[in-house]
Amino acid sequence: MTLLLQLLVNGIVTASLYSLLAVGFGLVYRSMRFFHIAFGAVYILASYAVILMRDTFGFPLSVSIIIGLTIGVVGGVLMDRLVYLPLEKRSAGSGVLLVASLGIYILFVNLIALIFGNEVKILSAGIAPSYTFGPLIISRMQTVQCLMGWLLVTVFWFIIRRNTFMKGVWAMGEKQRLVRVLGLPYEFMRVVVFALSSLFAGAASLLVALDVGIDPHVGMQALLTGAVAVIVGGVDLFWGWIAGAFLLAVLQSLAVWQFSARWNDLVTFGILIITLLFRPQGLFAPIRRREE
Amino acid sequence: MCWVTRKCGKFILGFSMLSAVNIDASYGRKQVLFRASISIEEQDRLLLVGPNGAGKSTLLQVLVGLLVPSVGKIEFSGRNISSWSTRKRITSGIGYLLQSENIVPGLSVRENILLGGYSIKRNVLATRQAEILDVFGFLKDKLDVRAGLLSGGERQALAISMVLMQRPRLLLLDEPSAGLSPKAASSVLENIKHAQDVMGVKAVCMVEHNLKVSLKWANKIVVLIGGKVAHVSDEPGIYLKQPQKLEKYFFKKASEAEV
Ligand SMILES: Nc1ncnc2c1ncn2[C@@H]1O[C@H](COP(=O)(O)OP(=O)(O)OP(=O)(O)O)[C@@H](O)[C@H]1O
Ligand SMILES: [Mg+2]
Repeated sequence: MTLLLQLLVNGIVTASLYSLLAVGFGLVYRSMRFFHIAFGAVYILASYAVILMRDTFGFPLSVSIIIGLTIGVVGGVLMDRLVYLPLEKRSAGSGVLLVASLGIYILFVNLIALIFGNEVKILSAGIAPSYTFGPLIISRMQTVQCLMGWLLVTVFWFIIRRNTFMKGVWAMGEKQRLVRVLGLPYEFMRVVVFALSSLFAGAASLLVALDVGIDPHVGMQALLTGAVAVIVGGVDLFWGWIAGAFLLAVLQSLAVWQFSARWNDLVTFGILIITLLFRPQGLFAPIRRREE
Repeated sequence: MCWVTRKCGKFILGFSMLSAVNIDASYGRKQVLFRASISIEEQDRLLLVGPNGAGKSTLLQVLVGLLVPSVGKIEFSGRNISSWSTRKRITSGIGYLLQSENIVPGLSVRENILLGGYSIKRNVLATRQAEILDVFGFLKDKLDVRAGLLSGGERQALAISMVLMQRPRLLLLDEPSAGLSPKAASSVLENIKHAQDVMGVKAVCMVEHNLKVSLKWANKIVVLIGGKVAHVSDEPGIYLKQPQKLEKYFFKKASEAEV
C-alpha cells in the first residue's frame, strides 16, 4: 500500500514534468498543425545554455537559468522565423517542414555533443535533501519540480481561458485563414506560440537537469513524451494533454514497480498505439458534428 | 484618386473606394485570374457572379491579401495597398466574409464575436456587441453555446456579425446566403442593407449564386468567367426581367468572353 502511494506521488511529480512537455509540444502542434521535432533541440539547448553560462562564464546559477531560458526561447522563435515561416511562405508541404525540423534537431544535438561531449553533465552538485511524510519520501528537487510544473500549467490554463488573443492562437490551427481575415496578427501569434512552447521546453529541461543532469540525446525522449501525451489526450482539448501526461506518468511508474525502468518506452508507445487504433481523436476528445 | 473605368463600352469617371487593376493570380502553377479588374465605389452594392470555379473567391482573397497576385495593383481609398499584410487591410476598413470555415466551432458564440472584435478598442467592444446582437437577436440566447452546434443559418449570421464587429467601410461577402432557405437568405440581405444604412458600411461587394434575390439588391453587377471579367453593368435590374441576357455570359467560353 505504502509502495503504491509512493508510486502515485512519484507519478504526480513526473506528470508535472510531462505536462510541461505536453503543453510545449501541444501549443505548436495544435495551433500550427505541425510536428515540431526541433522541440527536442530547444529542450537540450536551454539546459546546455545554463551550463555554458555557469561553467564557462561563471554566472551564479539563478542568473544562468534566466539567460538559459531566454536563449531557449529566442532559439525556438528563430527556428520559426528563419526556417518554418519562410518555407511556409513558399507553400512548402508538411513533409518538407518535417524534414527541416528533423534537420534542425540533428544539427543541434551534434553541435552540442561536439562542444560539451556526449556524457551526462551535472547541474547541481551533491545529494539533494529530502523530506519524509510518514512513510513517503519526496526529495526537495521533486517538490520544486512538482510545484513549478503545476504552477506553470495552471497559470497558462487561466490565460487561455481568459484571453481573446490566446483563443485566437487556439483557433489558428484549424481556421488559419479566418484568424487572419479577422485582423489578428498572424505572424506575431506565431512568435508567441514558439516563445511559449520553448519556455515550457526549457522549464521542463531545467527541472530535470537540476535533478539528474543532462546529455545531448535526451531531447528526443522529451519530444516523444510530449507528443504522445498530446495525441493520447486529444489534440483539441487542453486538459486532455494534461490528462495524457498524467496517464503516461502513472502507467510508467507502475511499470517501473512491476518490471523495470526499461519498460518505460514500451509503456509510452503501447499507449500511443492503442489510442491510435481505437480512439485516434484522443481518449478524451468530445464528439463533434461532422461538418466541423 | 480619379481614374477611368471601362463599362460596356462607355467611359465613366469615378472615385473608387477600392480598385484592383489587371490582376493575375495563381495557385502554384495553376493560373486562376487573368488580367481581372474590379472597381468598387462608395454606395455601391456590387454583385459579383460567375460559374463555379470562375475565380470569384480567389479575386476576393487577392483583395484582402490572403493570396498575393503575380501581376496587378490594388488601391484602397487612394492608397496602394498591394504590399500590405492582411491584418493591415482589415484594420484599415475592409471586412471579409469567407465562403466557408468562417467561424471557430470550438469556441462559444460570445468568444467568436469577441474574436471578430479583436482589433477594435476595448472601450467600444461592449457597445459594438450590443449593436450586433440588436440586429441578430436570436444569437442573444445562444451566447454560451459552442458555435459548432449552430445551424447553417445561425452560423452564417454569426460569421457576418463577426465581420461587422470591426465596422468595416467596405464589406466583401463570399456567398453569405449559401445553403440557406430562401427566407433566411432574404433576411441575410436585409441585415446587410441594415449594416449599410446604420453601421457605417459604405460599400458592399457580394458573391452570390441566388440571382433572384440578389439582383433586386444590387446596383452594379460584374460577371467573372474563367478568371476574366466578362461583363460589367450598372443596371442589374434589367437582368431580373430578362435573366437569359445574363445567362448568355455563363455559357460563353472564357476565350470568347470580351474583356
Ligand atoms: N487553395 C487552392 N489551391 C489550388 N487551387 C485552388 C485553390 N482554391 C481554389 N482553387 C482553384 O481555383 C479556381 C477558382 O476557385 P474559386 O474558389 O475562386 O472559384 P469561385 O468562383 O469562388 O467558385 P464557387 O462559386 O464554386 O465558390 C478553381 O478551379 C479551384 O479549383
Ligand atoms: Mg467561391
